[in-house]
Amino acid sequence: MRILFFSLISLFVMTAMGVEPAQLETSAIKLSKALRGIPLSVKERQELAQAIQAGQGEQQYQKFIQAFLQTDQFRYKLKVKVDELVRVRTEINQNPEQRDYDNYQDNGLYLGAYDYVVRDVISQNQSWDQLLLAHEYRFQKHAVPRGDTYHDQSFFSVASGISQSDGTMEDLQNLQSYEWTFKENQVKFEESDERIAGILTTPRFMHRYVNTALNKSRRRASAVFRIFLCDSMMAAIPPTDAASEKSDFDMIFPHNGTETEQQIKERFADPHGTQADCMSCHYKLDPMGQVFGFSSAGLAPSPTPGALRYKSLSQGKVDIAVNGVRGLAKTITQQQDYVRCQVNHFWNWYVGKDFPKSEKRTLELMSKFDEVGRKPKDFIAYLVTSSEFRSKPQILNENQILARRAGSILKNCFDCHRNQNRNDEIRDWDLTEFPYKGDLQQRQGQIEMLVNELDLTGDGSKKTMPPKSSVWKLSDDQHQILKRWVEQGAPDYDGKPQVNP
Amino acid sequence: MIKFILIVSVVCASMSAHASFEERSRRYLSGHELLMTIQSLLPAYQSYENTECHSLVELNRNFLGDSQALTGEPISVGPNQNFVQWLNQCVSKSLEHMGLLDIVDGFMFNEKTDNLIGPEGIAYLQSKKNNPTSSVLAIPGVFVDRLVVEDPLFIEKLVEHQVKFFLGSDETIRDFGLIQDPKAYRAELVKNILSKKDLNFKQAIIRLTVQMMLRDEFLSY
Repeated sequence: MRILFFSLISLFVMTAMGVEPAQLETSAIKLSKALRGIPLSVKERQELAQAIQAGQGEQQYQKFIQAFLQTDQFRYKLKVKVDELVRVRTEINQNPEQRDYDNYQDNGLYLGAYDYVVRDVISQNQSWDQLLLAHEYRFQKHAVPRGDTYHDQSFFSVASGISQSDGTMEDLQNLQSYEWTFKENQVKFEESDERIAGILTTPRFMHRYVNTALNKSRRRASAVFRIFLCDSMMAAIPPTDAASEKSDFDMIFPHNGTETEQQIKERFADPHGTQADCMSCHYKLDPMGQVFGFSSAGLAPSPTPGALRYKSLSQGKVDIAVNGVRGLAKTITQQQDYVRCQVNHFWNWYVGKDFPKSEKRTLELMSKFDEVGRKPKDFIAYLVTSSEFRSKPQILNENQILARRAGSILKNCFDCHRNQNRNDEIRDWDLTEFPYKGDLQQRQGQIEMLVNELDLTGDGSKKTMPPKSSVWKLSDDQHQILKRWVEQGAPDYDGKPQVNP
Repeated sequence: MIKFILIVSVVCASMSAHASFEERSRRYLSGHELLMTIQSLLPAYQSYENTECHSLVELNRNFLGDSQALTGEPISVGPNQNFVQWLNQCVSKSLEHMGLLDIVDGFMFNEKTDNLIGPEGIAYLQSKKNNPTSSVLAIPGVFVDRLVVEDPLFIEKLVEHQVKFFLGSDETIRDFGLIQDPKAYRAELVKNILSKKDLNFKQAIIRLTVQMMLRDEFLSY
């Protein structure tokens, strides 16, 4: 009843704001595709039509939400999204006659601990934090995964003492229980076991982000930053002042493409990872990587200390010592940046990136996420009842499309420059947030800076940004897009020029 | 070469990506979802003959918008020509194996047939019964080679049903914003089909189904 009330209120507000609500049938079709990945069936359409005729259309929409959230298709679709976030391939039975979203028995398909953790969080509507905090695992035994070498049984048996051959259990510290079933194994660890942390301590994750002598688990740390804190790990320029800006750039990109790797190695006596120009990423990666310092062949016999360290735009410096992967996972779930990041994932999945949201709206969503106990189904039910989801499909005009494309290109710039926003003397400028702040003259100045740095009046050959040694390069296509964007007056997401064209 | 009406926003290299195709202003069903949807709507056929129409395999993964595990980005940002050819081939094969229109003496109706032809179209076919001694259960009739021009009324009913089934009611179609006048759009479709003098019923159903499935109103949300 409360959801119905709020959905009616939001429809009223949308109309008052000029955002056109879509027809109920349009919303229901979108709901079905967004939650289940398939259109409404004939029967469902008939139900909806009858409900609308009886004046019960909104109630039917709410019924659809609750019904769709319980389907296998919903669970599968959300799992695919999580798999893509973690960047693992979703396992699915390729034989459509045996395809069964619930049961993968006897088909050679391997469901491991990672898969079960994610599936259980979704289907049982557990807190989203369980992706990091789960301490009970299930996995299928003896099946050989396609194309991969991970094997859950041996991974957990190394530290748990479980025999791989006969299933007998030896008691070991912190191991609660082990049940042997023909099809599925179950391993439970104590909640206080600091070695265990949801999907992070599953063979799937470990093998996806392999530890080597060179990367020292920084690859795993980088993945954790990207997935759970939305940190893309682009080289971040530290806060600075105008006088030392150029030297800071030289520090971050010292050779600017003019030296070979061998020359750089000879020039620096210290090993990689301690130089100032490397520290912009390593100060974050190294302390986190330490907690992952164990082989992917088996669970760590004991937890390793490390730290969660990074610069938060909202909280300032974060530097918290942790013990073991679980300590790290718990600390991450306590950060507001984590909440913001997960909320952004859900927003992008269900409402869409093409629907920009304000900071105020983001804070509302974060509050709602906590209010529903971080449970995915409850939060998704809220999102698909929101005015943004229920609005008419946007057919963008040329300037609106241009603005979105320019914004996505400028995000690469912002990933490096974001830390400069910490220093108000320099600028408080999110290159991707349109319209830019300030009056017309100030905005004109900002656009002119972009034009000069990127050589948007020329062919791009004289551009100074991004630096030559930057990982990201501005392509010719991107250069043309930004050029056109400026020529149109640097339109914002509504298509309105920010400056004179 | 069959011409398809494919209204897709101009595709540009997207810098962000999730499951499915992604273009700036709309989300497309993912590769797996497309397969699920198509299979739920169309009659099944022998899977070992048509793996690429039932599963994501190396052959079709690229143009079905599947994402790369390395980057999480979709391989294609939106439906392209390969996708059109794939869909045409899979729909054609499925409907050819439907068993419905291949039976000379009569045919069977089921839920999936209802999806494609609709209750009014079926009622119309029933009224054209011309083989009362058929031993096949359900409604007898011979429509394998019947030309569309011989029954324009059936084509009108077919178009009306398929547009509503795949794209939605007129209000929903207008909401989506790509078709402003659904009535005119339907009339254009009928005219287009009837202009092909040698097209038979089966071919007309295939052609129309593919056209509907290529619309953004069907593929995206």
